[in-house]
Amino acid sequence: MVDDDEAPLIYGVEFQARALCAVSGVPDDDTARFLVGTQSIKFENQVHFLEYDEEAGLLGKSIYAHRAGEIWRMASSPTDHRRFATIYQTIQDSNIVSKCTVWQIPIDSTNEEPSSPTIDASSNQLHQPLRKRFDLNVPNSNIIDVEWETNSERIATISETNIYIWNVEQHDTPQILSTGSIDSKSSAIHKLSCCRWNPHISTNQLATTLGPHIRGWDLRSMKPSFSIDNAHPPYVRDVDYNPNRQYHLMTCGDDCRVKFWDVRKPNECLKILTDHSHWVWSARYNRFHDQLIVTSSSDTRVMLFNIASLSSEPYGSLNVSDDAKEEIEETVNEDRLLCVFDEHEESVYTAQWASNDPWLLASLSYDGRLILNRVPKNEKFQILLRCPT
Amino acid sequence: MDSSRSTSIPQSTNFPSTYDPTNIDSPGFDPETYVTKLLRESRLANLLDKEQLLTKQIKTLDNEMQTLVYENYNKFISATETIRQMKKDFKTMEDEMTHLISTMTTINSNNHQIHSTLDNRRGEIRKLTNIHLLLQKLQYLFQLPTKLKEYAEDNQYNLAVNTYTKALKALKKYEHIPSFNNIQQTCTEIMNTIRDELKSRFDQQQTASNDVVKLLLQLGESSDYLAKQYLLQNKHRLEQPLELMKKQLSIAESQVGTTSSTTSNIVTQQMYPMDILEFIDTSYNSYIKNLHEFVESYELIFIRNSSNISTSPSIEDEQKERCKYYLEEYLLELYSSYIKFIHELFQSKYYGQEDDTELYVRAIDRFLRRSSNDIYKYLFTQNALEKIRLMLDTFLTFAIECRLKFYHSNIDRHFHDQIIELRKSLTFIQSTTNEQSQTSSEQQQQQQAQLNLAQCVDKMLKQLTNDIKYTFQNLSTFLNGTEMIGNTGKKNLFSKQFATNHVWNGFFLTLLNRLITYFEHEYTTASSNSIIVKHEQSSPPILLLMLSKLILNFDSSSIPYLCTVFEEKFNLILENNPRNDNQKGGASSSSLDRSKLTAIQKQFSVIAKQLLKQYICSQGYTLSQMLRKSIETRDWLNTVEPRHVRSVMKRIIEDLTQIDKQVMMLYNDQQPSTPLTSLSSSYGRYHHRSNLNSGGGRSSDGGRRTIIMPRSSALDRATGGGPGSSAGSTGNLQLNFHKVFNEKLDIFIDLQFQKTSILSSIIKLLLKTYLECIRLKTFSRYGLQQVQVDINYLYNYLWSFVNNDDRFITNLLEEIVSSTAMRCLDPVLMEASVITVICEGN
Repeated sequence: MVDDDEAPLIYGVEFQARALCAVSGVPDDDTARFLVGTQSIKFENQVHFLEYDEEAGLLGKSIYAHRAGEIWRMASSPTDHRRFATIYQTIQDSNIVSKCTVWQIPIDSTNEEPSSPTIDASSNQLHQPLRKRFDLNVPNSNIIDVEWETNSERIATISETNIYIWNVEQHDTPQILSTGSIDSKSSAIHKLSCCRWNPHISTNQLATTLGPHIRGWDLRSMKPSFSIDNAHPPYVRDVDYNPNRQYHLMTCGDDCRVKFWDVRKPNECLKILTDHSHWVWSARYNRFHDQLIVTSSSDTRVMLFNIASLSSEPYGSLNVSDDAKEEIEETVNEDRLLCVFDEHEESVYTAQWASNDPWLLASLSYDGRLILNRVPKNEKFQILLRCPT
Repeated sequence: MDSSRSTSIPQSTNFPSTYDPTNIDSPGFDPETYVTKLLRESRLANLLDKEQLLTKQIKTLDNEMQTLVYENYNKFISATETIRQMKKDFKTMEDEMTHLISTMTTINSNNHQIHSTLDNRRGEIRKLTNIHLLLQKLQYLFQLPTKLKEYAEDNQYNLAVNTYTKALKALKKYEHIPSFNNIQQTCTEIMNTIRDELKSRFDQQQTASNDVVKLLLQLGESSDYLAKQYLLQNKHRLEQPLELMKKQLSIAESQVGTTSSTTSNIVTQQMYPMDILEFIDTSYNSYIKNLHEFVESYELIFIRNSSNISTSPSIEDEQKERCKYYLEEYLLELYSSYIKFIHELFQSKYYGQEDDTELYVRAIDRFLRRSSNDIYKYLFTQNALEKIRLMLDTFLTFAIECRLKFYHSNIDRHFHDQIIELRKSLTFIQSTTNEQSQTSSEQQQQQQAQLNLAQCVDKMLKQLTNDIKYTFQNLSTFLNGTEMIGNTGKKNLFSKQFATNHVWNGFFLTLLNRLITYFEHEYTTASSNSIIVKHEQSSPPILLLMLSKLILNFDSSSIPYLCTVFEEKFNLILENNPRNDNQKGGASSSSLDRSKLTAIQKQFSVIAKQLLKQYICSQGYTLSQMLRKSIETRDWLNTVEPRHVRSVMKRIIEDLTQIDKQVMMLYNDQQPSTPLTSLSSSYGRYHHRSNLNSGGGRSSDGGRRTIIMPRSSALDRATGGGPGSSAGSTGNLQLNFHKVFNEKLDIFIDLQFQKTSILSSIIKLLLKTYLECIRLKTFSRYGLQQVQVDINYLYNYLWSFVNNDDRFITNLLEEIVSSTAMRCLDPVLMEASVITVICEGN
């Protein structure tokens, strides 16, 4: 039984894929949902909407056509599970154009039967196309990354040199609230590549990566608020905020490392993980237990860490006996690599935690293999035992 | 009878003439013989003459005899007369004597009479003199208070105390008489004031004179208090030399800096402080001699001197014991402060850095021996002895530790100097390599400089090993040069302890551990604790490579060598099996557990590997950067048809050959068939040359070379196939199919200390970067073709670096081309022949 429980669940997408995101916005539901976007130049790209029912151990899938282009990134709306944004590339006049659009999955929240299968009668596709809500494009600039604010009121998109904050409260009519741009000197050398919304400070901060650097933005003034230089030479691939400690930041990049920072001390790194042997493409905090960290790398491995020393959770709980406490502290005090998920055969570009299950994580490799893994049971119990709640 | 006698005459001619019977004067005269002889020998005339002579002689003789007889008679007569006279005289004398006796008796009786009468008088006189004496004494007593007062006023306390102690008995005797009691009281009062005065003087004086103490003792002051006070007061005086020495030490210390800078200055040279042995000697002399004198005087006052106060001997003994105890405590205290100072001395910059180990050891030894000799004399209890011994022991270990620290820092310094030097020389090498000068002379120079790499490593290794070896040697003088007093009895035990605890654990293993941590901190980023953001470029990659080789060699050759040196020097055997050691028990005295060392050796090899990894990463990083820039900056959608291999690829190959050379110098492939290595490398070079010269070389190995083409699956998917899910999934299957047979790419999997392994890791890193960069781009037809050309160019060269084990390279290159094909909008491949022509045309 235990082996069964811990065995990974593998799902194959027939195209190459980079984009994966956890779907949130469905409260009171145990089903973990993920979105996978494919990346294919030749064929119609797809968005796979996956629903994982843990009790039944079943993975339900529905596939929608994403005809706009190959998907590079996805971001799901934090409040509406049907909505998500994609970053996609198309070729226009022998130039690559990168765009961002917010889509809606053509199902109703009331679990009705999907509305008429073919909206676009002209196309003879197998898959139902997505319902386009609105574009978040700015003329003459490629949108590279997109990120929802936690309450879905705003969306941040970045181009290579600019940041755009959109107000999406009025559905279907997004407006640019504010823009910011990096200074011309650094834009000549490096480009923005990734952005993350800070869940703290009334969500008025955005972290972006700029080549090997990290730049923080104060959204009220649209001015840089902090900067970490040369965090990962030559390229930072991902940034994530600690969901509970407002100054803590995790980054990863092409120096094969994962680093932890306190933005108040941008010159010192709190901790470095060097376990990956190739570029680290994503690093994510667990939303529920921020000592759990999942990283994915082009060395085909997904790694799960327990970084208790930088966690917001206390080392020892009050209601355990002294002996047990000592034992726990011994095991907990050292940060460690919990396990390596090496089921992938190709570079893993994204790994994500499920939005409503603290122990479930999904990783997607370039060959289209999606793997759902769980935190090992003994680790889970250890964390739960220490957790005061 | 006569005849017989006569016959015997001639026989006895030799007889003295006295026995000559013919000699008339001799006692043996025989007249018969004489006559016969005469008759026989003499003539008549002669006989007649003789006869006449004889008669004449007889006549005279007769006369003479007659007179003699007469005279005798006369004398006899006179004698009888005198006797008669004498008889008469005696009678008168007897009468007188009887008279004398009678008078004597009368005198005697008279004498008796006189004596008896005088006796009475004499008794009276005696009584009177006694009374007189008593009166005198009493007067003395009566005068005592005033006298004492006088003395006290005159500050003649000595006299006062003496008189008082004399009078004390009498006073005690007459205590019952009130007046005397009074006197006594006043006396004691005075004496109390004197005592108080003395006491205050004693207390006030920093250094009390012995007399005062003696007086106070006589006055019955408690010896406890006095002894304590005495000791306390002398403390400062005794510690003065210590202060002086400390000053000297600080002077010496301050000179450490100056002497180095102004050694030429004669004045400073004159001021040059004495060496450690001398220093210890002088300090010891001044301090301990002082102490010695003090102890003598103390003993004189408090211990040997019996107190005047009549106390029971047991109490007195007890007091003395107490005094002894105080002294002992005091000595311990003083001595410990001295030892503390000695500690400081050995720790001090100047003396602690003494280069001459023998001198150092001798200094330690001298100190220990002298102090143990001297100090034991003054100590009485076992407890104190134990304490001192403990102190000395701790000092010994401390001194040894100081020395070890010194050696540590020494070796560290040497090592760091070397590394700095190495860095300097490396920058030189790099500058020459970076110039990439084409002139042959400079190339030679470059080659020479590079040849030095292995030598550099050897040199460093030798230096380090020698340093450690010398330290072993120096440390062994601790055992050989001295007796190490206090441990002589258990010398074996000591040497064993010394060897294991200090030399092995304290020095050798700690040193190795320090080296490990040094390397970990300085050169590897594996230690996740490193807080400071470091760049990999902070240390030049060649340095990493060299250090890794250094560590490897140190681990493999130096450590075993040093172990044997250690074993020789300290007569110990390193045991491989700790359990064995336990079982032996007693026999283990000459063996030492080796397990710790093996653990350290493991760490060494780990570090060597890490450094190598670091090297690979940094080299791979620089190459990757080049490649990445070239891919990212190019617009792959709008390229022209490829005519050339891109220059980046050539640059990469050049750099790789450079790296190959570097690595080759330090890490040869450890295959038995070395010719193969050289063959392959020369082959590679030949290949290179042949390509430069003409395309002809290509044909020679054309049989085994193939053109890298994208996998059919990628092309299938790219060219044909319906966009259905089923077709897609089959494509997916095909795409993934090859991976079942290809092992997963792992850059550092079984990294070995071999050139091939190192280079293949670098190449893997490089190609992986290529792949990832390609996947982020979108290509046009010509973009794809350009990648094809580049890849095949790389393929032509890369295989030679990895000793023909090029399976992974083929895989990766194929992967790259396939990925490119999939990222291509219009995947039309270039013809193989064209690729060949372009590759070789360059």
